[in-house]
Amino acid sequence: MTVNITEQIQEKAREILSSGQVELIIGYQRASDGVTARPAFIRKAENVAKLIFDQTCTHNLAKYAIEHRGKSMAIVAKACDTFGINVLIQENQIIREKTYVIGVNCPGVVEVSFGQVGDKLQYRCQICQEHAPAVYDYVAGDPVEEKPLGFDPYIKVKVLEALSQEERIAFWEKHFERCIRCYACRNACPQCYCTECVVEQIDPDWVGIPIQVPEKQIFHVIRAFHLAGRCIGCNECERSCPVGIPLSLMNMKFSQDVEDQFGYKPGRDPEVCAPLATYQPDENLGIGG
Amino acid sequence: MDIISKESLNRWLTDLMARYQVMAPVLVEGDHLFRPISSPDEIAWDYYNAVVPPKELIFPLTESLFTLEYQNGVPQFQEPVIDRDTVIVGLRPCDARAIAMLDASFLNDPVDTPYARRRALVTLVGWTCVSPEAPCFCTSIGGAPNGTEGLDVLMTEGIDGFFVRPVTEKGKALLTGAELKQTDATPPEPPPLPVFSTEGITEKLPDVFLSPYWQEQVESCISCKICTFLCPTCYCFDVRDRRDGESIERLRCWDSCQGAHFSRIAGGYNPRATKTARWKQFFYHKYLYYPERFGGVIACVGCARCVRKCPVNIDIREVIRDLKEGLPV
Repeated sequence: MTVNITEQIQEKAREILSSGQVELIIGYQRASDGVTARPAFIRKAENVAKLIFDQTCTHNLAKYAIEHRGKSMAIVAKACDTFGINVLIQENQIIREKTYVIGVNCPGVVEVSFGQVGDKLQYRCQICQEHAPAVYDYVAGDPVEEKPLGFDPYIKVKVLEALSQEERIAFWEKHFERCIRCYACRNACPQCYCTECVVEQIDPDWVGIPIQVPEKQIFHVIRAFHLAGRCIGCNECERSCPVGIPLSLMNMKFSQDVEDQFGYKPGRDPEVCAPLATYQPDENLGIGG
Repeated sequence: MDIISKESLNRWLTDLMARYQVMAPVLVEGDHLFRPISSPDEIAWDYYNAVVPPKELIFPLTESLFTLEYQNGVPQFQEPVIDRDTVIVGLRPCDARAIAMLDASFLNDPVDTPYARRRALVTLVGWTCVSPEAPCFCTSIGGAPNGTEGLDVLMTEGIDGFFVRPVTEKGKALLTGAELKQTDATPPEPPPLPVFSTEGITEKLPDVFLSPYWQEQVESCISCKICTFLCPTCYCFDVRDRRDGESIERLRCWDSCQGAHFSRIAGGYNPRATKTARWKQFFYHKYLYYPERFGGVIACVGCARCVRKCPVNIDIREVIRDLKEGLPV
């Protein structure tokens, strides 16, 4: 018999709120369109009935853990979201002991937009091979059977890589032309937490304010570099983009490179930091003697 | 009333393209956006609405105000030339009404010169919304799917072509040469939208500024700029100089009250340091500050782009509903 994930989450939330173990539950509730989900912040046990979980729960709630750091809180986290939580723990952005993780054995989320629930899994879920949470204090849902993918998860990157440099530049310029620098991609990302983003800095004015292709290119490339080996593939950046820029291609390319060169996938182990965010005194950088 | 067949309309548009820059909704990578067109075939006739509102055609995301360049040691001042007559075809009545609201802000004393120059060169040919989508609420906030405010011409698609209604003298002049035919038929009525009352909202706002409601309502906000950038009535901008060798260009670009640093002042103090304060600014500007300055008109046209595109489903219609019911003080 399949368990009811919503009921499991509500029950656990009621228990840890009532006992005082946490003061805040960050989970999902039904959105105003009546069919999709949105983040929920629950502080009283009598409100836990608002919490839901289904295949429309797309948001990576690890994002909110950062602004509530220091509080004892619980986060409802799908498998990939728990990778994000692990990265935040590695990078000292949240405190593990104060963060109760309600992990979810994730069946994958479907494509959603306001008022619309698609019948297809999001692409990131189609290529997902790790449905169980990596860090948790409680797990909801039945384990999801891991099946061999049958195709290369980086196939989309390889198609792009096969193009010439000119074609790739044209590809990205075509997409960045419609970017409006709204920063939804950055702000939806749990791994983007700088208090002042380099592209918004005024003094020094590194990038400037123009909403034009060169500045947009710089922004997206800097963000991709900063996420290399840290991006956990939740793809909330691409889902949040109002003009549909395929940001996942850039992030997947960097993930693939880090995986190939360092055998590293971010957020699987809270003890092991991202290769590009770590320095060891004895490491060979390939420069100097 | 006059009607124009689809073929005649295409001929008219093609003719316009010889004299004007024509902007229309086109399909770009799965989304509808206003872009210059060189053939009526490029127009997305069955579009719902553009993701980015057509305000970008009069108030561009980035525009040059002037450049200063040293030539033989002498600074030369140059203003950009804005002289292209433009026709925007196919905009929705909500977005035209929004442009009328931008006019109130930019064209009142002191007049914003670049905006005024562009605006004077633009003729707006709107299309009636035949199938407004679920979250739209223009009829709840003073508009209509076939409203004419801000437009020069309104066209409504019927079975035998487009019903043509000139709204201004400028619109009438633009239609010279169009193969219009008289008809006894009347344009189809747009389907009704669910209506909720927004009356009295402005008056309620001063008393609930400090309500704990706001923090709760926007707790999920991620401080992106989608709601403001996609809002057809938002018009905030930033101005900065860009230096390139011996040349300096002063640029004006879209800015947003949702950005964390938008209100930061010299010395580092930020009067809107929280996302609650920032989102409240977004709402209060539309529903209180703008009406206070411009004759009680609420600066929201119900296009619902902010509702549809918010990554975390902050829904302005819910806020209106909650305000009507009364907020905790």
